[in-house]
Amino acid sequence: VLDSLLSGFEVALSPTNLIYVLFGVTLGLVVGILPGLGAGATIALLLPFTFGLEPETGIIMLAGVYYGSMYGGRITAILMRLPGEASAMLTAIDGYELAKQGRAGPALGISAFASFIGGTLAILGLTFFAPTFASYALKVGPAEYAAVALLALVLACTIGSGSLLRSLAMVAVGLLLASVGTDPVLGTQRLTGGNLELFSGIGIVPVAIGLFGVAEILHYMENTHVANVIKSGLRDIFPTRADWKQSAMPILRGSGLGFLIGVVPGPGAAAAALTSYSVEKRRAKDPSRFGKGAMEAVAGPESADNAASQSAFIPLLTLGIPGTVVLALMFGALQLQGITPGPQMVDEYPDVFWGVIASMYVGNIILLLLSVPLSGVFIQVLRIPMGVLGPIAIVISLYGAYSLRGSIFDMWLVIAAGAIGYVMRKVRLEPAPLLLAFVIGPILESNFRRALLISDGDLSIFVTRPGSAGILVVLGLLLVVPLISRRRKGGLLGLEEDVPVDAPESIAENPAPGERR
Amino acid sequence: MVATALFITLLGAATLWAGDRLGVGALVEPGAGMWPMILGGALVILGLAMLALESNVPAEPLTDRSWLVLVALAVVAAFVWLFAQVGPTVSTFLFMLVWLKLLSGNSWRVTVLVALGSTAALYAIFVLGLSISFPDDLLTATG
Repeated sequence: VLDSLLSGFEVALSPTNLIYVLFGVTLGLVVGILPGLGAGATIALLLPFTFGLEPETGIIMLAGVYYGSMYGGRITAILMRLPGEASAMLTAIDGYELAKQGRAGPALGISAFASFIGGTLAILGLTFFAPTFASYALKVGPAEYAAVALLALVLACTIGSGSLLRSLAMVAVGLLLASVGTDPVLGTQRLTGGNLELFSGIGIVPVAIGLFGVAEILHYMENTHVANVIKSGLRDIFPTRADWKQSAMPILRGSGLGFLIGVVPGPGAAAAALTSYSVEKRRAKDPSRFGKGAMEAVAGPESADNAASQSAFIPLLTLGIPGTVVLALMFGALQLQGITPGPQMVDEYPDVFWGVIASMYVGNIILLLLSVPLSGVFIQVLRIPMGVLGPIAIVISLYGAYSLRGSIFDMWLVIAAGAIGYVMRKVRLEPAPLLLAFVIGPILESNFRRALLISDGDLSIFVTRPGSAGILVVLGLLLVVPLISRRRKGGLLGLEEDVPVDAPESIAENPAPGERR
Repeated sequence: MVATALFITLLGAATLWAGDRLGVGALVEPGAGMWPMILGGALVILGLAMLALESNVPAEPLTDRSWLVLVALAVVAAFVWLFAQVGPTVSTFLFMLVWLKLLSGNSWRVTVLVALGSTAALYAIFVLGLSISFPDDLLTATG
């Protein structure tokens, strides 16, 4: 492992890759700070740019944007109660309270270090566990693959903020959209309505840009937020010794939790932050401080979301199953380069695999160096009003969608997806399960059908093989347990905050798919 | 919302119908319609469940600015149409002009400066920098 890692550092430290990592994390920081334009939309916009780069360089840059934005999300969360990223939601609660008490500086400082420590510990885990994971994954058959893909989708639903039922409906819509085009086995056209442009299927990029980027801008337009900026307390960035003492254990716990949750495809960084928050609150001597400016409530979730965003690369790089929207886009970027992420990647593309991992060490150090002194400067970016930023982002989205395939049709798709995404928001349907299902759909379908080919059309293959049976049992529990516990609380809306409790349990029940064989 | 649940149900029903027309085949030898049929069935079930259990989820209320979203979509659509006809420069400049002035209500000074600046910058990045071939451009005659 160490040899491979060293060769990875050679890749990561080459001048070109260093520049792109720097560019990626800086951009990530900026979009992380900007509410609205999230990492997902930015990576979607950058996809066409990676086409002309070496595969490792492109992924290094996109990965940088991703974890950079996790890092940046906390800044506006603390200063303005505006989480730049969903995962910074929890930081916003106590961070903003701290800022109101004039302690914005220490809160920013602690969260920067928490992010750094969480991220770095998770990369260490990634370095040592990913290759082992990949060697297990090689032994996994199509029945297990289909089961894991399904599990990833259901997990994504149980963790979201909306109701399980509605998220599942969105998964079904996503799978349906993914099935438009050519049948993967028979090669016949299906659900295209005879439209030639649809024969090759609907592209990931236009759908992602529309659902996330354009829909967000449209939604922002009808609700003009007025943010109240806090100007005081920016000068002393450095936390006191008492702050450190309070935060040290939450950071370590948060890193561990975040790493574990990140490995499970589905939940993602926001769930990790949520879990860490609830754990710290339960452990606290005086839980009532939470929500009123507790430093632990900033330190724990911040380290957890950064750790999760790093370890989430494990299922992507070793199984080829993206767990979150952003990783789904990463998957798309690798495919653009002709690389199919999966268990073979470690051996077939060691440069990409190890280069990306090594670049994460580098990127995290850059982020720490950048964000401590520059926190104040970055906030200036916020002075650009959305009324100016919005149309520019839309043009970039459309340019990006066009340049991927040189297709005007894809631009129309962006608009359609944008309109749909806006309406979905209005009627409280979540776009994330839809997009994830859209990306995982082909993996699920082709493995489902391959499994049936092996078993001669016998559906029992999914329950007789121990691996897929085990996963399906976990899946069943995930679907049934929240239904019961919610009914007990007297509502199926799923708006209660019982979600974080599910996450750690699901990890305990869900070891690597290969281990069950 | 009843409408949302009904929509999901109808989408499922339509998929079932389309899947049936494609030919379902058997599990041993699935036809092109098998996978759509499975999804259609799932959608119908989920839609009906939503109808039964969650039809009281309120939609986010429209604000007095909501009509702007429709206008914005129309403006974006006009931009794409124009982009296909005359290339990136003119279409982008006009789009920025309309959005910045009419939709965002910026001053003329900001509007013209940002529209010019962003059009030029985006052209430089995409066409000159990344040499992506956009539709033939009216102004620069490159594409």
